[in-house]
Amino acid sequence: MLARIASEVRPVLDGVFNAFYQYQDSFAFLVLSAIGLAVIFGMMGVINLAHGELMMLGAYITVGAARSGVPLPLAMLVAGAAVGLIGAIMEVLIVRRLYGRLLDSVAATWAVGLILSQGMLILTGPSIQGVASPLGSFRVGNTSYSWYRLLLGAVALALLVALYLLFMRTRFGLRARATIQNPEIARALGVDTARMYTVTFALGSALAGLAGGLYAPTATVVPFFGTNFMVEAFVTVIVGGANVLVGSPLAAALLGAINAFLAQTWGLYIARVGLLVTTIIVIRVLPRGMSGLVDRWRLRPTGAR
Amino acid sequence: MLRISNVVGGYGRTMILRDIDVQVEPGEIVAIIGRNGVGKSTLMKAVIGLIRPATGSIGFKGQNVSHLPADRRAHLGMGYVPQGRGIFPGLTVEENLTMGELINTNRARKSLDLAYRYFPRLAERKRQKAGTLSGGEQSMLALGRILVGQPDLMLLDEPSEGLQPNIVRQIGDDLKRINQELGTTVLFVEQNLGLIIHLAQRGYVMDKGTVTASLGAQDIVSQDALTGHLAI
Ligand SMILES: Nc1ncnc2c1ncn2[C@@H]1O[C@H](COP(=O)(O)OP(=O)(O)O)[C@@H](O)[C@H]1O
Ligand SMILES: [Mg+2]
Repeated sequence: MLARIASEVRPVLDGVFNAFYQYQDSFAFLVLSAIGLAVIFGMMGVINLAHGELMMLGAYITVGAARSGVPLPLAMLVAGAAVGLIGAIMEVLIVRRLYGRLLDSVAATWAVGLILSQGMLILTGPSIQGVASPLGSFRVGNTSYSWYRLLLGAVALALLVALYLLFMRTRFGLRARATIQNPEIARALGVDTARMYTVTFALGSALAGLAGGLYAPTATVVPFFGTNFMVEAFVTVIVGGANVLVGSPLAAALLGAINAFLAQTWGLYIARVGLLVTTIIVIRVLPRGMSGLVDRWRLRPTGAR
Repeated sequence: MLRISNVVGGYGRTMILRDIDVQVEPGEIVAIIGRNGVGKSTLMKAVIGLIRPATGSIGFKGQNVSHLPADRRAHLGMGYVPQGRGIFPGLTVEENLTMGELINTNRARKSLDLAYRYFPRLAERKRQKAGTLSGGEQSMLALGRILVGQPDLMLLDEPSEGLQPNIVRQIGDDLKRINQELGTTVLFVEQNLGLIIHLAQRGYVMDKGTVTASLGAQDIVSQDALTGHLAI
């Protein structure tokens, strides 16, 4: 009797686990692809088209460090730090000159991206030997799953929490939020806004580098590695809107469900189409993204005179 | 405290300020008076450092600060409230006040209590988004925010703008108390004659980007005396 119930319930639980696994995998991919782009766009209003190439650099640095004997997790952190530094240099040399000139900064960062990917192609050839995906796999029912992919889901969540704490609970975060709202007043109150922008750009770049490193073991590391992430990154940022802390998780939660479902049912191609269609619908209905909706709700008058 | 000498400046190539001389001694409350568009706000921006004078110099506490950006001047002890108050609507009251901490880095201990002492209303609303406050409360918030940094010089651009007369009087009283109890020097731009008479010890009249008259205490005793000067 019990055995019969178990044999009927078992496949259902397997299916539930499978859905959860696919969902958290999509969620992590969207969050990690977008997070660096989202920080730079949300905090500075700059669209960094070199985002994918910064992820690519993160992957190369991770692989390079890991293959020369650095433990893999440490290699990823090194990649994040190094790409953050590259971002700081990029801000000081180029992006800084183009604030308030959206299209110019788009063109300039696009050019930086091209230089990085073509430069990497010239330096290292069409691909380098990667690192194996760590941690191995486990089975639920008849399906095999990767521990590492589950870990990425946890890392994505942890990064969201860490960013939330950084921006909502620290002086740096407060000054960054004040600077986005009104840079002139922030400056008149003693905030070195120029340094604020450099640090923020470096932070977004470091997150891109770290994300690139995190996905390096899951894909072939090539100079155009970054293009794997660009659709997901942009779709998440657009659907999320300008408030990174609220928008990115909500967007990834929504898009992750759509992506996981479509990919499971009709395959990856349809899933991408689904993401783009969803994005178009969301920007028609909510021009300022999901965080625009939340902000409007939070800033509603609360009966004060 | 503040010495503005021969300042010429404006936005890009458009010069708004023409050869301005203004002096403020420690502990004084001084008004800048003039019609719309004569350059009062531009002068305040030049003092805090949001625009750089083309020529002339700005001295603060005996130091030439003409070459310093606004954030450095704030660190030295200037607290600036722009026209329209410049609160951060998306931040809470408490967060807005915390943003005053970087003013006057000489004063070691910064505490929001000073703001709450002069404006208890803010304590009741500390977790509320500043954008949801009434106009009067937003004015208190903007003043409380710089108070947190204990500035040596307050620069206030039309503190009465858009406020009910009873609230204007209240703010005037608060500023007087702050000046007397903390010794804070105040330079404020104002068009509301009532507030000027209530608060100012001296004043300067501005027209077309320059100072056209300097008013002593006896010139600021009544509306009639003032309007006479403003008509020039
Ligand atoms: N950001 C700006 N850029 C260019 N011109 C400005 C700017 N702000 C003000 N002005 C001009 O400077 C002049 C003085 O303005 P302002 O200092 O605001 O006068 P007031 O505060 O006395 O009313 C006006 O002619 C105004 O049009
Ligand atoms: Mg003005």
